Amino acid sequence: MRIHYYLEIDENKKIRCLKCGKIICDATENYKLHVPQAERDPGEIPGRRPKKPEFATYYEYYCPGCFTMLDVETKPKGTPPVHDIQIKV
Amino acid sequence: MLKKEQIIEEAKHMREGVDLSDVEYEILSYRLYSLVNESRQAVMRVSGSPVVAEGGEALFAIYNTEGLGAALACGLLLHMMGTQGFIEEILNLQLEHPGINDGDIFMYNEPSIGGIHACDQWLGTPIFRENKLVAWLGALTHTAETGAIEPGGMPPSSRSLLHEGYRVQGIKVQEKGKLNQAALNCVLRSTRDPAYYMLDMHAKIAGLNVGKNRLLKLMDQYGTKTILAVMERNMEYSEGLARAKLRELRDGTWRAVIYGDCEGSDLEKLWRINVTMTKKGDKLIIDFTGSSGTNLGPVNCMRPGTIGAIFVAIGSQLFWEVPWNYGMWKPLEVILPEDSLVNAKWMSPCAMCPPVPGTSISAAVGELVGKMYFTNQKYWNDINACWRGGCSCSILYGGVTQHGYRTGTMFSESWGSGTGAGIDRDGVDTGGLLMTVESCIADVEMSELQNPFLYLWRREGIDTGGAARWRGGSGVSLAIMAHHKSPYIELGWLGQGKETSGVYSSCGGYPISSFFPVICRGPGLKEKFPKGASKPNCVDELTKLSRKTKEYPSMVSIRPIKDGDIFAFDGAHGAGGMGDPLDREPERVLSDVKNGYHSFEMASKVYGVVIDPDTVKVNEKATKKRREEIIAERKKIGKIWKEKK
Repeated sequence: MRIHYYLEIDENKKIRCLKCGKIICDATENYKLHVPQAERDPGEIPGRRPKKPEFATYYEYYCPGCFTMLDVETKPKGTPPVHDIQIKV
Repeated sequence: MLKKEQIIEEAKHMREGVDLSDVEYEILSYRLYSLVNESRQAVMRVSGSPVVAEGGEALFAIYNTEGLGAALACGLLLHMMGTQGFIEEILNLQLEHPGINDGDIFMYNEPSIGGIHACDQWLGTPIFRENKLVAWLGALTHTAETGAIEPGGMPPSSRSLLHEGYRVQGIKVQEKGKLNQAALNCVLRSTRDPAYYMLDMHAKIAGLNVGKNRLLKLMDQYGTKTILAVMERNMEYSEGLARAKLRELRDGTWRAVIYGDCEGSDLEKLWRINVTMTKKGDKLIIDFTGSSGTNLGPVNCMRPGTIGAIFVAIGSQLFWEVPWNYGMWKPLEVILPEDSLVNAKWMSPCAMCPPVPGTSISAAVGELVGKMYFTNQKYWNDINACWRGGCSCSILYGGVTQHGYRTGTMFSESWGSGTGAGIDRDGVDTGGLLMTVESCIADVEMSELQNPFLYLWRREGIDTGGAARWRGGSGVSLAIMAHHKSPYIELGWLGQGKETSGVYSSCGGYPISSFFPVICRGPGLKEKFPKGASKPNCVDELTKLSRKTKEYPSMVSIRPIKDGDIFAFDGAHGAGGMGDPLDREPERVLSDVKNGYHSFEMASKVYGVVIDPDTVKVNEKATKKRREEIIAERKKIGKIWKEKK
């Protein structure tokens, strides 16, 4: 079952990357805790001109297999990943 | 006079036992929806307000005896579920004394009871048959002058509901068919623009007259009982469709957290809206626990405002095929923490509910609906990333026009916002605002004719849509200067997203640009733009020409604008994209650059597409290398969260 542009839940109730097939974690878990994540200063992206870095940092999450970017959260530094998708399986 | 419960019970008995065939129901239901649409058109045609005529911010509804909406037509989806509280209060407070009579028209603009903020002004009239109260009609417009502490109805410097202008609590502006001038004067003597108020008032009365005439004729033709039964069945039908659709989607929980950076004029503050949406069978629970407390400034929603903002997303993204009425509401449960910016405490300012926290709520709920849709292929075409949320700029102004009359209202450009991308399409550039999808923005020429401002530019902003596999729709950028024949003009703006972006993309796209407002002034600036000369096209080009440029926060109160001053902004009104920017075909990125939606820098830095600035063609070899570099960087900087901790 597809749950995201790049993710699905497979027959073993695991979250899997649709592009490379990499199994990430159990379907009940927050996949963002199991994938590489990086912080980025929003000012690195054209059109963004932040003056208060304490207000927002970009948190990028990548597939551990193909390094496709799965999500970008914008939030204060140190804020834990949002468990955005929790399908009942 | 009967008591409220007796009246409701009586109406219930009236419609019981009516045997409606499916065909009869379809025909009469269609007639009711035609009636509300025609009445709404009457409101819009009479009103001279750009907010109503062009922005489409007008609602018309038929309610049952107790005030539940049985058929609605509205341009501003915020109002879909926000007006029944008025009727409930009229029944509670006025039924026995002074009484509710045929030909009465009641007025409300109290945001804690219904509507969204003081600008939302509702008129309602009871419908009687054989001396029995059987239904209500209601018309609402956004009237953009409320006699608040700043002109334009949405004062950024408001710190209390008392600062937001007159609030009318169900007075009868018309009694038994005759206008009550003493009641009207409560408003006429409290506003900067009484003519504007009266035109909007007449527009709503015109709509009520059209609607009442049509409804009474329909009841004459088919019988009151039958029409009342159709109204009830409308709600049952919509509830049934809504619940059936929910059953088609997988059970689960989806969450979003969205941030804003300003709580009022010159008050920068990081605030947060938490949305947890849980679908169980045919029920949807939307819980805002964890959202920030009530703000000091006007960036708050009263309960009806939050409900309205939820329905902007639910009505347009989830139940878009369900006829609009109270039945849509029944599968939903909404949890709003007390004393929070989504359920502000009594007397808190809330003028900015629609443009700021309201749009953020709508964007977040809409995005969660999109994620829920992934679980059923049937709905993949309906998936949307966030439409424009809390990165916006609505410009307010007041003063004396070049034609010599006093004015106080707002610009329409914020309606030209980007729309969210889908899973196989880009968002629409300046396509519309989620809460008022049918709106359009005034032509520059028309705006310059009416308003005391001249445009230096108005264009789709570069790099404003979320950079992604499917790009988010671009927003508007503009620059305006005061008309030289205007003796006095003051201007403010209610924006958001200078620091926080306010809108994220979905599934791996970057958040949208940040709002960047400036005022440029100084001797000789205006003279740099003689007739026919090339003019700057964005804020960066403008500031190079100005000796004195001041950057401002997202939201500032009204301040005088002198001849030669230029207000400009970039970066607002974009929408979210979908997917990793590295998956976007280089030819699409090239097209974005050629059409001014993205810069060369964005193409290379984020999309990994290298475009030769001389030939304006994609350098395929350099692009392959650049994309490999980006992946290599991700591998280098990416760390597992748990391991980092």
